[in-house]
Amino acid sequence: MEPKLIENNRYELKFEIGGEKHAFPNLLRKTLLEEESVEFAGYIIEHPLLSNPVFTIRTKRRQCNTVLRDALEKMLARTEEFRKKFEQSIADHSVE
Amino acid sequence: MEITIIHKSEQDVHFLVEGVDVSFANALRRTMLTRLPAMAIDEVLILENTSVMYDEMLAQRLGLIPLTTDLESYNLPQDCDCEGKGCSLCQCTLTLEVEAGDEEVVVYSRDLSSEDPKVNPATGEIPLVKLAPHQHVIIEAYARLGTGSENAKFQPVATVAYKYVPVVSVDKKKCDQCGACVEVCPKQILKLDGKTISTQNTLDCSLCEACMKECEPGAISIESKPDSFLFKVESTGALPPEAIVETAAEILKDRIGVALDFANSL
Repeated sequence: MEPKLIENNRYELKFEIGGEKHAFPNLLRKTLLEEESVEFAGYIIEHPLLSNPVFTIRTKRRQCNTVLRDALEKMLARTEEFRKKFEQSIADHSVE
Repeated sequence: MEITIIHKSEQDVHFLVEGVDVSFANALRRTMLTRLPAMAIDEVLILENTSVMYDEMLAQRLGLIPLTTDLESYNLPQDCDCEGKGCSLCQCTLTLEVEAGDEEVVVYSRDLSSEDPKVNPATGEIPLVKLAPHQHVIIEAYARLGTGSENAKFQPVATVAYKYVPVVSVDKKKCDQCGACVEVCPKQILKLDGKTISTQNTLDCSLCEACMKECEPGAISIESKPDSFLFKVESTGALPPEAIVETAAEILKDRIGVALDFANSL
């Protein structure tokens, strides 16, 4: 995971995510689209073997970097929740 | 988010996750497949091989043996202090020395002896090569950590799949109790209970919709529950199945963390 900034305006952000395929960009896209101020969120992988995903966010009213930060924090919280609940249910299951 | 363990054994774990998005389920699946480090033989030194099998094929077969992995005591070669040259922190040596007597002998994965008791073939039952009388093999193999994106032999998982949670419902008004759906269902989900069709073990349903096609009055409907997924994670034996899921979540978290640092730097 090596993000590289391509373009950064107040309401539009474009960056390349090195070393990623679909797993991370798709999760980020879906999480961003939950937010109302996101006008557009998407990524493109120009060539499946040779290129990295290029992610674009366009927002209205709110600045795109804060929107991106919020979305990533949401993803982090959810993954942590998943890990904790999974560990808990494994522990509960082995007791039974 | 709700997680229910449906089945757990030494090799596999089936669990139900409710309240997550498809993209999360898929990110988790892809992480388990391609990002988890596991041990596999990567370099083979063939000192002697008088069997009929070519050295290359034997090396390929050795590479595909799942090895029990200790993630704590080994580094990925690219993260190791030796810069990937191979040292005791990123490499483990296994040796294989078998000679057939007057009878022919099958060499199994259990014949491999490892310098580290924590790194061993996950199962001893894998046949490697058959030796005719008096043939012999002497091999030194070097195992290292790697990830599934590099080569599929490093995958610690055999199957990682998720499916939607099936909802099978029978409309009693339309149903004429012909029982055709019971016959056609490959998973025995439907059963004829006296005069009514009832359902059992609906989680086993493969959503093949054979019953819907067979049912002429259209009394059966098969739908899937939104945002709920049934995961099936089967380990090759490299890591315990629950450790696979936990480590995958941890790796996903690390990657989100890197992205978050990037977002904070904007």
